[in-house]
Formats: sequence, structure tokens, C-alpha cells
Amino acid sequence: MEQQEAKALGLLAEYETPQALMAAAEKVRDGGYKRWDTHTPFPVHGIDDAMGIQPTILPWIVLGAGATGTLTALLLQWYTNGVDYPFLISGKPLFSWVPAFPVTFELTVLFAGITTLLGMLALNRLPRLHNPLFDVKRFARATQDRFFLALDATDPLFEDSSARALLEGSGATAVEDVPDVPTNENIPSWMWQVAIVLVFATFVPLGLIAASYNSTSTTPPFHIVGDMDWQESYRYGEEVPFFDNGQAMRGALPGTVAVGELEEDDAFYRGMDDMGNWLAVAPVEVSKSVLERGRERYNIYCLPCHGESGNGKGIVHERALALDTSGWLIPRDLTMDSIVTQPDGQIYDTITNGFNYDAETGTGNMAPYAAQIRPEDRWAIVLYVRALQRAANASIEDVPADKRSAL
Amino acid sequence: MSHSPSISLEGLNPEKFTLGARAGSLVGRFLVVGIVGLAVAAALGLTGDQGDLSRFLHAYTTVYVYFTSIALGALFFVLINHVTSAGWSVTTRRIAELVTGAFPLLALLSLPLIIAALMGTAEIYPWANPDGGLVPEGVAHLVHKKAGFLNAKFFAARMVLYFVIWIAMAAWFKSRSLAQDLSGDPAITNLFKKRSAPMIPVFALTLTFFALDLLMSLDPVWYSTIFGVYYFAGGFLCFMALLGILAKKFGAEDGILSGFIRDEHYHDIGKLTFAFVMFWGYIAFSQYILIWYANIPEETAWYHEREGLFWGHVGVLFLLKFLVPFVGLISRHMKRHPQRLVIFGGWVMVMHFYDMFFLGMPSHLNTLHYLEAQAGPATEAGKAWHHAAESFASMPFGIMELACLIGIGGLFVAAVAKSFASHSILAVRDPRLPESMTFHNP
Amino acid sequence: MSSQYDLEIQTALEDPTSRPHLVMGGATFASIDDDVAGVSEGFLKKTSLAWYAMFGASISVLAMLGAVVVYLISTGVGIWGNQSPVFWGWPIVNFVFWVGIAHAGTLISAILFLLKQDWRTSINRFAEAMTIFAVCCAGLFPAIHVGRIWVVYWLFPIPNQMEMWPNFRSPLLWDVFAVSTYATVSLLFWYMGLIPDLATFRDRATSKIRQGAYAFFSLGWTGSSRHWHRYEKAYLILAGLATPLVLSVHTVVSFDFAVSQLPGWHTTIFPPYFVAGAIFSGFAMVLTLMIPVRAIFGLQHIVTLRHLEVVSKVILATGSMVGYAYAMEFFVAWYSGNPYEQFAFTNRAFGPYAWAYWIMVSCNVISPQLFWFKKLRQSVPALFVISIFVNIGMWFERFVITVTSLSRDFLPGSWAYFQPTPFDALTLIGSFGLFFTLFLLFIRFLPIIAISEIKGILHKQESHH
Repeated sequence: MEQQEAKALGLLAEYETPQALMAAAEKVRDGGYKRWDTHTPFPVHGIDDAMGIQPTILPWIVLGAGATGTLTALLLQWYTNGVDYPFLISGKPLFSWVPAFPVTFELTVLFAGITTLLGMLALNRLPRLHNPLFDVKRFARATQDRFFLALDATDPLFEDSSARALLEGSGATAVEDVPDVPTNENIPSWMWQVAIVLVFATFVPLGLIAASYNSTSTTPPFHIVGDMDWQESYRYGEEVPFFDNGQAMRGALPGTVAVGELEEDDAFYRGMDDMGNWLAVAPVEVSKSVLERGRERYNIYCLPCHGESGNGKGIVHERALALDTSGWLIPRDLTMDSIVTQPDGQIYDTITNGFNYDAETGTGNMAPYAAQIRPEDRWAIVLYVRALQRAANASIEDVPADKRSAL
Repeated sequence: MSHSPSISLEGLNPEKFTLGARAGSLVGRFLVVGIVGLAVAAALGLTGDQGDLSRFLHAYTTVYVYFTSIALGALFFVLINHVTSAGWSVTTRRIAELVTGAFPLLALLSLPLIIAALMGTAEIYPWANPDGGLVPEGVAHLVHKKAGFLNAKFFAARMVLYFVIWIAMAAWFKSRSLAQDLSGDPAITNLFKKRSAPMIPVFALTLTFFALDLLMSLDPVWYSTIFGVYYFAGGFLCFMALLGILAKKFGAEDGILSGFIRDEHYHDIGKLTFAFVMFWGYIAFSQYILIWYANIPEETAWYHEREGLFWGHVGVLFLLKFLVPFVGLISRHMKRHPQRLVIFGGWVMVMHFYDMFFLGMPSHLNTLHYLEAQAGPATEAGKAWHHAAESFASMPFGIMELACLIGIGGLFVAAVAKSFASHSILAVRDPRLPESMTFHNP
Repeated sequence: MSSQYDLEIQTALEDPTSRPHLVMGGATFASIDDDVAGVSEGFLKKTSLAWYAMFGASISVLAMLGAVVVYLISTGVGIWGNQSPVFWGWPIVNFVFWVGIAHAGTLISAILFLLKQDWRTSINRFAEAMTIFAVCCAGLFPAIHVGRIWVVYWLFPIPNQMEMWPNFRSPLLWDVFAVSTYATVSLLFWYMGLIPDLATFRDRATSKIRQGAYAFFSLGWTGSSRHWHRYEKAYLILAGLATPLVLSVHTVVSFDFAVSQLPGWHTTIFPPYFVAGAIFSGFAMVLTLMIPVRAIFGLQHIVTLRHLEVVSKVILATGSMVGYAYAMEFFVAWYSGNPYEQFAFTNRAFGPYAWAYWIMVSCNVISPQLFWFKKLRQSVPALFVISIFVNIGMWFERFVITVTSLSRDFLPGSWAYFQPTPFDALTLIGSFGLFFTLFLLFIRFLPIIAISEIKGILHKQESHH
């Protein structure tokens, strides 16, 4: 490249005081120049008027950002806690302006605050990698103790000699060219390549997370810290030397009742009335579905001994006889008179507590079934047993007239 | 930026800034209006049944605390400007000093309430007569527990104490400031600064207990530690709104303070109004959210009663007293525009009244409910009380409230006008007057 | 050297017709650069030894904090004394303590800016830096107290493996938003204020590295008036945003306590009372730090005795507000007639934690009342000592609120006396290490006084003559 005389990008005038700068700025403004600026170490009040600077639109941008923040916060809170995963917290409404206010306020300020700084920088075209003014040595004092006026050569009115004369006549202590020092303002291409690779690289982990988040894989998730997933805890029934009885499972404390397990209703839970007499009639509603339930439970828990029809000849009984009869206590025939005449409450009690049962040795005619069968199911069984008794002692009158011929 | 026309501050004559007959002519008229208003209200209240008495006393209290809060706001304005050595406010400070001239009248107007307490009028103060049958069921023991504080004699003594303190403070500032008009002695300004600082804690405590006595004790069960701050925030806000209106009145082209009250003053008054709109909103929200969230029956009941009145929703109060002026005054342009400042000032003053109404009047509804309970809900009398309660809840602002507003308001305006008529409304020789005339808002 | 300015200020304060100068000692634009930038530039010559000694000490404490945190995370929060019924022990006390201190900076830079209090310019940068570092210390405690710190992102509304969202009706979540917003906006505010001053540092730099670093962070600032115009607007907007923000932060912190139903926590005055307390403690910390710094670096003509006196008055005012709140709490507890409320407060003053309560009252209510005396307001040693008392008192205030109310709740069977462990103490001490390390780095590398703003004040001061 041939050596050329560097063309100046503009003129830079230096002033000692803000007042001198202000006077000069008014002259340049009145001279009709458009592309020029002043540089001062602190904001000089009144220079806006002297230069004819228009009010900035920054407040409106910030207002928009603040409104976006408000809306974001309200939508976020309404959607996350009210719609997508409704939390009911201490009976409070799923969405209400009262508890929503703090976060809404914070996000409004956050959005507005970030926008204020970024908006100010963007409107000022900052950050800027290179500014030709920095090539003028004396310009370093623009941030210290001197005041500068820079006139851009691209201004349509700019004409070197007249501009220079204007500035020199405005009280400047020095007027200097802003040299056009050739610098490569473009970012080298390798930097771009690295930047692009890096930007894409940041999406890889996010993509992987999103992919696994939306997958229905059957393999367990990847555990970074597994302390919650694999805990050193004992399982039900395991042996633990730590406790007196050697069991991991702890029983209820003596004299305590868990919430909802007081079972204060004697009729329902124990089959007795207030005087301690057996209830004649089960304290539950009789319906087809309850009887069905009773049949199902009976067939599971009672049938093996008492037999399908309640005659006491279940398959366990048959098998016991076939194997060895010594010590086998014969199950009762549930349809016999002595049981038909028992009150409902007593049958319920037998299911609950067993018959002739000794809890110490674990022996007797029949073991208690309280642990296996819930109270409402015991009553259902009682009702079903009543049905079996009725069937066993039925007469032809019990059969509907139109079906009798089928027998 | 507007520069005021160059006014020579040398040798300003206080006479020139005295309103004289322009304000003096208002005194008589408003005195008559006020007396008639109060007479009507008293006639309605004292000749009727228990419900009318309760309504009169509640309406009276509501209006009374409203105007007292303005005078207290004015006193605080004087105190805070002295303690911070404020320069900007000098041309408006005398207005505040003159508004505090209403304290003797307010002291006089407290008499009906003191008498009501001493006579054990349970219709308004259930604690004044705890066995009078108008204490809510199940809380009588609480009222007895509080008797050490909530008893008529101590109440009367406190009321006297408050007004002695306030009248003394206001009179001292006013008289020293007027003396400075003649002497121009800067030492007075230094003395103001020195004395006003210790007065602020005294002011804070008296104001707090005044609010507790007159408003919080209407419901002897409810309590809130922020209540004094709440009353203060609203009162100072209301005074700033009034100051904006008065500043426009006196500072307008043809006003007596034309040239002395500049755009910069409107701007600063607007900023303080705006700041206290936010402060009031902040305090009101803080009290509401804590009670809303904890949801303890003895606290929430208070808001529940308030929301039983026509329009009495706390959300409406926030919307009208906080959000409207907040949006209205947020921009610099609005604050510097006197006409708009007056519009929002008027709005704020009305809303502050609504706020006081929200604090005071629902207690009357309670009294009606207690009367209903006392008579027995099934009885004829009980049904009549029930009906009275329902009709009050649907339209709580009636002739009684209007009469009290006109009555106390008329007397308040008369007292303030009298104060304005006989004194200069500009502190003509305050050493910081030049600063107040030349400062600029960035 | 300082006494000569003091006399000048004294005389000026007595005369209400004029305002005393904020910058003393015949300063010029250039001399301010030299004084402020000199702190950083002349480091190796003047004060390096003291700085390195302090830095060495604070970074050792920081290292200790690191060790404690590693131990905490690897072992669990059981190493702290938090135990039934006091599940909120020192961690939240320390959190609230630091957040409180963080309030002074933004208050000075935002609220005093809006109130046109020019005296703020001498100390705002400093206080803002203190704010940021105190927020860092404060944020540390909630972050590490969660125990399983690797899932700390559950605090934010980010989709997570539980497919659940945070509970937006919890004040603790509001805290997450409030503190992170406050940290962000304070940082932006601070950085924005730094840009022109970093440019000054850049233009004064003599070494390439220094110049490059400051050039990078000053973003190519040239002091253009068109830029200043938007910059000032942005500053005003940020001040306007930060003002309610600063109130909201400690308000939300107070909600953590006050929305509950626990006597001693649930009281409506908590929000403004916490904010007043925060300003109180923040200003005390400003004094504690500013007094030695201005003496060591010879900045008495920029941070004058008048500045210190004004700060002491703010401390007196906010200390009295705190006293008012204590008194109201007590009175209303009695007035309520509620036995639980009454017990909570008598227990505070006369129960097992009475010692802590009376330390709090003497430091927070009584010691600032000494500032009624002008002699003490203008005595640097007295200011320093009282500021330290206030710092101590405000830590105890949070301790009293948190621990006394929890240790004796509704169920006498569960009452217990809170016992901190050595790790509680080490974490608190360690947080001071973090604070001072950051602070010393700030003094070393950044302009500790807002140079461009001081120049603006100087210009204003001169043009009035």
C-alpha cells in the first residue's frame, strides 16, 4: 500500500473549564453542525441545552420492560401454582393478589433494572471496541480534568479550515486533528468460529437434559449423589440388634392411639351395645353389594376350614383328616342351630377374636382374624354367613313359585 | 427549567403577605356552617335511640381523626423540615405552621369524645362501660384485662396531654417563626433545628397513642403494632395533598405568593405526595398481608367487619388511595404541573377520608350487631337492630356523616382561615429563603 | 490535618444562610483523581504492608470458611446447633444480619440521591461496594443451609425432576426473589456508577495490563455528553427502582417471620421495623469501615467529619425507630390481653435469653442515644466505638427474635435452650473473612470514591462563587 497522507476523521478541541466548553458548544450548535459531541469528566448541567440534545426514550423502554416483568410474574405464579400443579397451602386461594404481590414487585424491578443498564448502553452504542478519539493522546484527560469538543468530518457542513477557525475562536486551549489510524476493527474470523462453536456447545447439555426429561426410559435416572436413593435403612421384619426385641419395626408407644384409630364406636368395632350385650343385628346396611363382598371375603378367609356352604367341611379339614387326625379340632358347621341362634355381634366377635383361642400359646379352635379382615368386611362376612344359614335351612316355600318346577 | 422573575428579597414586609380580610371573611361563614352542621348531627344523635347515638359518635370520631391527622401532618412537616435543615421548603413552611393553628380548636372538639368516655358510653367505647352489655360475647375478660389502660379517666388524661403537647409545639414554632419575620435572626433557625429533633420522638409517641385511643380502641379486642404508623402515613400524605392545593392557590399568577412558589416547589411537594402514597400503600399492605396470611380469627375479624360495609373492600381502598395517585403522580411532568397536582391532591384528600371512614365507621356496625345480640335476635327489638345494621351496611354515608363532615370541617376551615388571616403566609426573613428561591431539581 | 477542615466545617454549619462545602482542602479535578486513584495506583509504595497483612488474615479466614462449608455439605446441617424446637438458629440470624447491612449502600445511592442529598457522593461508592459484599455473605447462608446444595435450583421456578414448582405463597420463596433481585440491581447500580471512574483509571494507567483491564470494564466510555445524558437518566431510573426495592427486601425478610402465627414473630410492625433496623445496621457498618479507610488513605478532605456526623444522625434516627418498635411490641403484647403474646415478650426480657435481650437493648436503643450529644457525634473514636456496638446489637436483635420465640413455643413439653456448636461460630466468623477479602480487593483495584460525582459536586461548589 502506498504511503498516503492520513485523512483526519475530525477535529478535537480542548477546553480548561466547563464554562468555556459550554460557550463553545453553543457556538457549534448555532453553526448548524449535527455530527459532533462534547466529552467531559462529569456530567455538566446545562450542556444538554447548549448542544440541543433531545430527551432520551430510555424511560419508555424501561416502562415496557417493567410491564413485561409484572406480567411474567403474574402468569408464572398463576400457571405454576394455580394451574399446572395446584398447591393447596393452608386453605389459601390457589392464586390471590395478596401473596402474589411480593414476587410480582421483585420481577418488575428486576426486568426494569436490567433493561435500564442494558438500554442505556445500547442507546449509547456501548461497549465499543475502538474509538478513534483514543488515538489522540491528550484525549486521555477527558475522563480526568479537561473538557473536549469533537467535530466529526462526516458532518455535511464540515470544512476543515472553517471548522478549525470556529473552534480556535471558541476559547479552546488546543485544536487537533483526530488521525485516521488504520486499525482493523473487524473481529478476526477465527474468533467468530470459536464463538459459534462455543455457542452451539452450550446447547448440548441443555439438549441432553431436555431429551432425558422427555424420555420414558425404564433405566433409573443418573444419580449424582445417591444418598436419598440408596439409604442405609432397615426393612420391615429385619433383625436389628439395637432394640430390645431385636426387630427393626417399632410398635406404637404404650397408651397412645394414632390419629383416626381410636375406634370408639363399640357397636361397629366390637359388636356390643352400650350395656355390653351382643348386638342382635349387624350395625351395617344390608345390600347386594355388601353380601357380594361378604361372599368374596368368606371364600378367601373362611371357606378353607368351614367349607363353601358353611357346613364345616372345608378342604383344609378334609386334608387334615386325611393326614393325621390327632389334635385337629373340627371346624364348626356354621349352619347348626347353636350358631343360627347366636346374635350377629357374637359371630362378629368370633371372627375378630377367634374361638377358644389362647394368645399366649397361639393354640385353640380358631385364631383371630382382626389383623387380616377389616371391621366392615367382618360384618359383611357375618351377613353372608346368615345367608348361608338361611340357604342350609331353606324349604320349598323359599323358592319363587315359578322356579319351583326346575327343582 | 423555569427561573422565577427576579424578586428582591431585601426588606420584604410581612404585612404584604398577610391575607387579612381575604381569609378573614371566611371565618365567620364557616363558623356558622360548622356550628349548624354539628348542631344537626348532635340533634340527630342525642335525641334518637342507642343506634343513633352510636352513629353520631362514630361519625364524629371519623371526621375528627381526619382533620386532626391533617393538623398533625402539618406539624410533622414543620418538624422534619427543621431537623433536616431543608432549604427548598422555606416558602411553603409558614403555610404548615398556620395549619397547625387549628390545634386549639381540635382540642375543644375532643371534648364530646372525652365526655362520652367519662359517661361510660358503651355505644362507642365498649371498654368505657365493660358491664354495659355491649362488649362482644366471650371477650369481656379481655376488656377487663385492659382496664389499666382502657379506662375513661386515663383516656381523658391522655387526650389532655396530647393536646397540651401539640398546642405547645405548634405555638412555639409559630411564634418563633413570626418573630424571625421581624428580626431575621439566624440563631432562631439554629434553635429550630436543635429543638425539633427531640420533639420528633415525642410527636411519634403522642400520635401513636392518639390513634390507638381514638381508632384502635373502638374494637377493644383487635390490636396491631403498626397502627400508629398507618395513621401517621395517611395524615402526612393528606397534609402534603392539601399543601399542594394551597401552594397552587397562593402561588398562582394572581396569588399572594406568586413568584415565591415555583415549579420546583410543586415538583418537591409532588415528590413527597408520591413518596407518601407509596409509604401509605406499603404500610397498609404490610398490615393487611400479615393479618391475611396468619389468618388468626381475632385479627382477621377486624378486616372482615370492614369488608362488610358498602364498597368496604380493602382492595378497593388500595386501588383508589394507592394505585390511582401512584400512576397519576409517577411522572416528573405531572408533579410539576400545578393544576394536575391539585386534582390528585383533592383525590388523595377524599381518599384519606375514605380511609378514616374505613377505620372508624365499621365499628358502628358492630355496635348495632351487639345491640341485636343483647335484645335477642328473635325479638322484635333484635329484628329492628338487624334491619338497622343491614341498611347501614348498604349505605354507610348518610345525613349523620354529612352533618359531622360539614360541622367539624366547617370549624376546621374557620380556624385555619383565622390563622391565615392574621399572619404573613411567608417566612419573609428566613435565612434560607434565598436558597428556596433559587434551587433546582435535577 | 483533619482538624483544620473540622474547624472550617464547624463555622460553616453554624451559619444557616449558606451550605458548608462538601469537598474541602482546595481540591481540584486533578487532585481528586490523584487522591482517589492514588489509593489504588500507589499501592505498592505507601500502604502495601498493612494491606497485605489484612488481606492475608482475611483470606485465611475465608479459607477456613471454605473448609467449614465443605464439611457442612459432606456431613449435613446437623453440624450446626439447629435442633428442635429451634430449627432456625444461627444461619438465619447471620443471613438477616448481613442482609441488613446490605441496605445502607442502596439507601445512600438511591434514596439520598432522590432526596438531593449531595453529601452522599463521598461515601456512596464505598457503601454500595459494602452492599454487594454483604449480599454475598447473606446469600451464602440460605444457599448452604439447604444441605443438599446440588439441588439448590429447586428454589427457582425451573422445571425439575419432581415435576413440581416452588410454592409462590411461601415468604421464603419471596425471599429468593427479593434477595436475588436486590443483588442483581445493586450490582448493576454499582457497576453503572463505576463505568466513568473505570475510564478515568484506564486513562491514567501506566501499565498495559492495568490499562487493558480497565478498558475492558469501562466499555469504551469517552465521557460523551450524549452518553452522559442517557447515563444520568438511567441513574435516576435505577435510583427510583432501587428505592422501593431496598424497602421491599427487608420487608420480605420480615415476612419470613411475621406471616407465621408464632408470638414474637407475628406482629404487624415488623416490615417497617426491619427496614429501619437494616438501615441502622448498614450505616453503622459504613462508619466502622469508613473511619479506618479515610484515616489510612488520607481522604479526610473528601469524607469529612460532617459526613460522619450526618451518618451518626441517621443512626440516631433509625436507632430511635427501632426503639419505638421494641416499645410498641411490648405495649401491644400487654394491650392484646393475649397470654401467649404476653409470655413471648416477658420471656424475652426476663427469660433464659434475658442476657441477649439486654445486650440488644443497650447496643441498639441506648448506645445510639449518645449521638444526641454533638461532642460525641464529632468525635471519631466515639463514632467508631458506637458503630461497633450497633453492629453487635443488631446481630443480637436477630438472635433474640429468632431464638427466643422458637425456644419456648406453645408446647412447654418441647421447650429447650438453644446451643450453638463451634461450627455455627466458625461459619459466622468465616463470613467476615469473605466480606473483608472482597472489600480489600475492592480497595486495591477499584475507585473507592465516585470520582466523577465528586467532580460534579466540586464544580457546583465552585460555580456558586
